[in-house]
Amino acid sequence: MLVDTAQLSENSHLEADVVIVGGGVAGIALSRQLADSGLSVLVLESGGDKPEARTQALYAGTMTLGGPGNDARPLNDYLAASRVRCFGGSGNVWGGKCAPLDPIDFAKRDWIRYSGWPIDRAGLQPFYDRACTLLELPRFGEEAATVVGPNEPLLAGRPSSLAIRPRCYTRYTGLAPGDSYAAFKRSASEHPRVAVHLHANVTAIKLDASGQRVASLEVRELDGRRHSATGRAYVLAAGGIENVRLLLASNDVHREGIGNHSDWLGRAFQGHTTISQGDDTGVSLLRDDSQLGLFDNQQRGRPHAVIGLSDAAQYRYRTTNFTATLTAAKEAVPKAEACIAKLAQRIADAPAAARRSTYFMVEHTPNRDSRITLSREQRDELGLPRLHVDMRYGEPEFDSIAAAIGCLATELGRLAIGRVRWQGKREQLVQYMDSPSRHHMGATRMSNSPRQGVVDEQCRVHGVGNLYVASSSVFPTSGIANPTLTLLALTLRLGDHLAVAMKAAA
Amino acid sequence: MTLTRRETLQLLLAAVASGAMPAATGAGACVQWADGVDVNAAGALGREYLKLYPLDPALKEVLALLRAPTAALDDALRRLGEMIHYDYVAGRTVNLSGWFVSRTEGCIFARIAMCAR
Repeated sequence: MLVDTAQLSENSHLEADVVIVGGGVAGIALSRQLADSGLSVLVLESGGDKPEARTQALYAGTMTLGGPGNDARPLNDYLAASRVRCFGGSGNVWGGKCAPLDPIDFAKRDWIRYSGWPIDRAGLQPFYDRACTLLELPRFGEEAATVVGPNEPLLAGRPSSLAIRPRCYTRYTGLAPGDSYAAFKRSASEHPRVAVHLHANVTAIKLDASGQRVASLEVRELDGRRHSATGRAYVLAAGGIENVRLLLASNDVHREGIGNHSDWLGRAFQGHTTISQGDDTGVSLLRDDSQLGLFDNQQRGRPHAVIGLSDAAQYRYRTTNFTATLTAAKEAVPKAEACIAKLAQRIADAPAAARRSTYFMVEHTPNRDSRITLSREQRDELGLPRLHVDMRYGEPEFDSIAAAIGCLATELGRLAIGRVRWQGKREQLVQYMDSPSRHHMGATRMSNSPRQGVVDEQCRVHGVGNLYVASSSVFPTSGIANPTLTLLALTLRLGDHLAVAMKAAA
Repeated sequence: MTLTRRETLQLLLAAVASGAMPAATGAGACVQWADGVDVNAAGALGREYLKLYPLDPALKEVLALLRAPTAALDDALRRLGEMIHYDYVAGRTVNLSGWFVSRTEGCIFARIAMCAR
């Protein structure tokens, strides 16, 4: 059922077994799963069926991007530009690229502070498989060959510090041709046990007197009318930034916000940025272009691959995760570059060399100073404090960039695969970064101990018995892979947990 | 980073004087193995390398290999390939105009710089 909240009488009270805040990819998938298990589900979506400027403006805020020894860059448009506030959420503009996190991303790495998930890749694998089924993707095993097949053309199975990291595109996004994503949304809104309410802005989470359970949600429309919603369980699926705002702003019982018992809420915000000096960043591969189809970025409908540091190399060199993505083939190659390629080609007796523009990605590690905070002065139309995001890179990732690119260059050289171009300066790394992608992670981090995070391994807010988070904001570390597949895997895992727990409680 | 011809010559003379590099033998010696390589552009890379490593002891062996007679060219290229491989294994790389290349490759460009003189 799809309901415009504007059609309700004022002070309506909405009720269901589970109340989900946010009708994006996670909220839709979870509502359908829970409804299939027999539970009634209420989805509260702030926007309408399509983007609306007035609702989208609720996202406005301020942001800077910085790193050690680098001047911070203002990115004030990012908060509104990187998210879509309507039914379907940012899935309406999602590129659809999917990949699991690598096994090392889940591991405790003693050279990366605050690393380590309460769960590992093997534990999440069944849910990755189900997420792939949901998105009609091939299943990602831990070996690249499970997706790209046995005849990967670059490393060709040779031992290396490099690894092939496959990615696939799903058609379940608003950007893909056809109406797959519309059908995905309808699978929730037309489910007999799901009610999706549009224009239903959740403005506060109301705790009971104990402060250990959610009693209700405050719901408001942009014209000021108020409603309320109650359920046996509540799930925040409003996105990796907005979940934080709601938890921080709901501070009438816990003064620092819900889930902020250990001062982690809003901290360790992580994103993904690409790093490049434009044409001055590249790889010249001793291959004919026709052999490199697997590495073509943006090739929908078939797997593509990026080149990464292997897990073993990351352990050996104590780096963060790192990838190099080949982008456009470069036609006009300056003479010096041509010389280097020609000489390498001549010595290696290779038939051709293909010059590719390239971008690098380095894992953004958990950093307590990379932080989402509430503005003290600015409020949105609903009266909620606007946000400031101070996205900061740290020493580990800046140290890793030079080491990882050096490793890439020596490995491609050792294996007579190609040559690498990069001469970036550490103090300008932030300038080489593109605007971060729509990947908002880490600010409600998952932890075994309440002292180290916001949610437990079931994504339940520590200390609040019936409040959960379905979002990439629970990722303790962020790897490099596009987060939606992992978000969906965690959401399906949460759905299983909720279905069982609520039936047991009933 | 670019060097003037005079600076390049000074560096090369210093290398020759140190015994690291024999005297240049003329542009014609480059042709048989540098076929298709833009000698001027490669020479610029070589001058950049010489500025970083003017007394590189590996230069001597590289130059000897590059003077191999035509009949021995394949063996010389094979040996250069091995040297390049072991450079990368050992992390003996240098960044020339942004490109990571092996020190042996740097020496080859230095040789081309001599040819382009």
